[in-house]
Order: sequence, then structure tokens, then C-alpha cells
Amino acid sequence: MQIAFKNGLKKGLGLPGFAMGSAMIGFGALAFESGLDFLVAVASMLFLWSMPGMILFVTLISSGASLILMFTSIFLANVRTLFMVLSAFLTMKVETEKITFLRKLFWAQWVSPTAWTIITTNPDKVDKNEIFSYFKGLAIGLLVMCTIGMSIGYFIFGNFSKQLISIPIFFIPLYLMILMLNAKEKMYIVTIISSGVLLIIFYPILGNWSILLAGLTSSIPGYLSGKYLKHDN
Amino acid sequence: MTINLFDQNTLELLFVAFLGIFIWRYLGVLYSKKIENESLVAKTINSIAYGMTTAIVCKIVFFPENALNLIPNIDRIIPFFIGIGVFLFFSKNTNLGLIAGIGSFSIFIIFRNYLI
Repeated sequence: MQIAFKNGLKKGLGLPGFAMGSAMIGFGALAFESGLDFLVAVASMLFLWSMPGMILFVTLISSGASLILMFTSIFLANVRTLFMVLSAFLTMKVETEKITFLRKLFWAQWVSPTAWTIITTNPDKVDKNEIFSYFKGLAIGLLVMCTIGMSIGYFIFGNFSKQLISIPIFFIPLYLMILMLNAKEKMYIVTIISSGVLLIIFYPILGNWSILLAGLTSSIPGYLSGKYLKHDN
Repeated sequence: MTINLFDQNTLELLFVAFLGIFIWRYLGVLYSKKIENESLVAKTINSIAYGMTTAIVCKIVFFPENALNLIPNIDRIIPFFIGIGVFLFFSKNTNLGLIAGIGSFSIFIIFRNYLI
């Protein structure tokens, strides 16, 4: 368990942490630009831990949004969190862990697309019974790297051109896509391709709603291909 | 004007924003108890999570809102596919894919902003 935790921590402080931390440079810069105090930026990262949620929060708070608008926008923009937490907890078999519901909630707070992708694709081939400990280390490592990235973006923002800031930001989508393409089951690969195509078609019409629609509808061809390929074998 | 953490309005807005995401996390933890790990429902949920993460990734690359927005479409999209292509071609070598993708993206930026 200790070794799994340490390996997770190492992973979090490594390449995935660098990728997430890089994206946080952009968030730190945005928070600075929007007139947020550093503590507000840190608190929004810790309490929201979701890039779309954090960006919405900064945009809305700096434009003087109401409580209802803040709640509704963030609530609707984060439906995906439900599926990610569900999927992560099923993969990690958290149900078999003897911990309180509150502790489970605490760890659910640190499920992010990066952490989810790593534990689902399991590139380090961690034993399935130890993957929850691995996740804990990973989450802490990612948190440390994100705090560093956000601080760099917030305080050193003025010294970088936005074009150069875009290089580390580009890291995260490429890294997540490459990790996801490691998926062994063909149904997930079909889902990935379908979702990408659907997003490109729907986004100009539906905006951010296309993320939800592409995510939900792409699972249908994924499911069908899984069933069809099984029959073939 | 600076937005301070200890203003009542900031705290209230932060709380409702937290609630907006936390409800989904709470439901995720709650329902994970009721689903069998290897069941069809679990696989479908995994599939939806894959679909949504892919959608976010494609949104960032194809329709960005942050600093990436300043980079021309072609300079983002070509390196993205170079990275994926190299990864797939060289027996799924993650590091090689990342180096190729980030490297070509950096070259595009440096070339367009500092060399032309």
C-alpha cells in the first residue's frame, strides 16, 4: 500500500503533474488578469478542482454575477464530473475499502480528467487492489504541481508572452488523448473517435453543451462496436 | 479592483460554485455503491467518461478560449495529430508522441512569432 502510494505520488509529481501544472499557469494568469486576490485563486482551485468550473468562476465573479447564475452555470457545466467520479470509484473498487462515506467524498473531490485517465488506463500496471492508494498519492502530487503552476502563472504572468504560455497549456490535451488511446478495449477507442467527430460537428451550433452531448452519444457507437466485435471473436 | 477572499460576497459565490460541482461528486460516490464493477452499466459509464474527456480535449484543441486561442487553428491541429500519429506509429510510445507533438507546436509558435 505504501509503495503504491509512493508510486502514485511520483507519478503525480512527474509528467502528468507537469501537464496539469502547465494548464494551471494559464489559470493563474487569468485569475491575475481578472483582479482576483491570490487567496481567491488558491481557494477556487481547491474547492472546485475542475478547470471548466474554475474558469467559469473567475469569469463570473469578475463580472459581478449573482449567486443563482454562479450556481446554475457551474452546476450545468460539470455534469461530466458525475460520470468521472462514478467511473473512477468503480475502477478503484472504492466500495470494498473500509473507509467512511465522508472520506470517500474527500477523495472524490480530487478526481480530475488527468487522474481519471491515469487510473483507468493504468500505465504503471498497478495491482487492482492497490490502485486506490496509488490514486491518493497521485492526487497529492497533482495538487502540489497545480499549486506551483498556478503560482507561476499568477506572479510571473507579466514576464511571458501569451504565445509562449500556450506551449505548456497545449501539453494537457495531447497528454490526455495519448493516455486514453492506450485503452485496451476497442469499444473505448470507438467512443474516443466518435466523441471527437461529434464535438467538432456540434460545437459551432451548441457551444459548451456539445461536450455533454458528444460524451453521451459517443458511448452508443462504442457500446455497439463492443457488442459486435465480441460476436466476431 | 481586487476581489478578496474574506469579502462576504466572494465567500458566498465560492460556496455556491463549490456546491455546483460537489453535488455531482456526491452523487458519484453515492451511486458507485450500487453498481457492479464489471457490469454492463459500469462499462457504459466508463465509456461516457471516455467520451466526455475526449470532448473536452477536442474542445481545447479545436475551439480554445484561453491563450491557445491566439494560435492559428492549423498550428494547433497539425501538431496535435503529429503527436498522436507518432504515438501510434512507434508502438504506443507516450514520450515520443509527446515530444513530437509539443516539439512541432513549439516550432510553429517560434517560427510564426519570432522568425517571420
